[in-house]
Amino acid sequence: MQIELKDFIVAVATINKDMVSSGSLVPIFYAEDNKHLDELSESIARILNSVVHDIGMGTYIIVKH
Amino acid sequence: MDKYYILIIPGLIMGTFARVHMIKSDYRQYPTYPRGYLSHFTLGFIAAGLGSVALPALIEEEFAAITFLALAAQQFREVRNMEREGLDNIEITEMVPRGTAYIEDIAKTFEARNYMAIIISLVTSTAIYICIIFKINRYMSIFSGMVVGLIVYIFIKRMIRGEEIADIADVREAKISFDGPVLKINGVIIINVGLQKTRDVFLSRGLAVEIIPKDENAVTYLSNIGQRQAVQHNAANQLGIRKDADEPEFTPIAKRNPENGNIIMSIVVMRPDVDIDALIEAVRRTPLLETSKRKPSDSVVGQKLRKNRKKV
Repeated sequence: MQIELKDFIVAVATINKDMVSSGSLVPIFYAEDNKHLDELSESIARILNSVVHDIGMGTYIIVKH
Repeated sequence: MDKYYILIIPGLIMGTFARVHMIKSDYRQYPTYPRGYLSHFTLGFIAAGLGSVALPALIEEEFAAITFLALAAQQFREVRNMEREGLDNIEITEMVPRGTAYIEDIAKTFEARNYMAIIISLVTSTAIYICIIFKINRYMSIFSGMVVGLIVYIFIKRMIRGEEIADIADVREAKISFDGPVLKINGVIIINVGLQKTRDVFLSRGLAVEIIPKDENAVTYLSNIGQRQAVQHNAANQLGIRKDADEPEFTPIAKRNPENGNIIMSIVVMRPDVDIDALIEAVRRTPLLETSKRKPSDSVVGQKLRKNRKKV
């Protein structure tokens, strides 16, 4: 048996500078533009074996399934 | 004691033959070759031995010897545990896991095959003994015992042969499309795919099928998550999947259309020459798991519902 966290947001990547979540444990990464957003979220997803989901308004969440 | 060899040896041969004939390695690569083969051959031989000495023990009025059969049953339950544990342990190393339901099904099959070896050797030796009672020629009785054993083997093999998806459902091609970041297959939402690159891979290499159950029992079978996992595992195994361990978004997905119980499955294949017919065939040939089988239509409620539907 292997025990790991599932269905858990590991990071948020966004170009929306208004996105702040004080007191949250989830790291937020601000990207320059859409291209940077794609690259940033892809590399985070690869490092953490997780999946990128687009939740709109220029915000991606990276989730471990 | 010599007189019983005529009962024991043909029984032993038939039982072992039945077990060996059942061992075949196909795309599942299970049992594993060559070590898995040897252990299953040995267990089959032991099972056949137990079955063939049961009758001589009874004739000698050694009733205590029969309790050995109980011991054998215990032993073969152990086989089931062994298979289950082994497959469970390698589960994390599988690109697309088998799922616990599929593992349980495989383990059960292995246990049942050992019982089959016991039954066949017992039947063979009993048939020979009956022939000897009727004063039939020695060689003739051995021959007829083996024929009876063979018939029982064919019968049991047919009886324990499982069904396949093709028996309970139609499998058709489905269309992959994107609605913004949302991957849809035949209009059913499957997953939210964030990256454009990933979406392009889905559109170029993705294959999708819709599994349409034939009746209400089939709807229940297919809703079982273990059954869906087995379909995914088999499809990925046979077609080759375009995925590495750090790309969980390419894991095959089987979703259920909550409106009608159809299963929609997508897989991203590696080789460009794999076409939709191959996927349909792989899905159709997936075994129906014993553990997912249910017959809601046989229940009182199920019958009432059927009557209601006729009225409507």
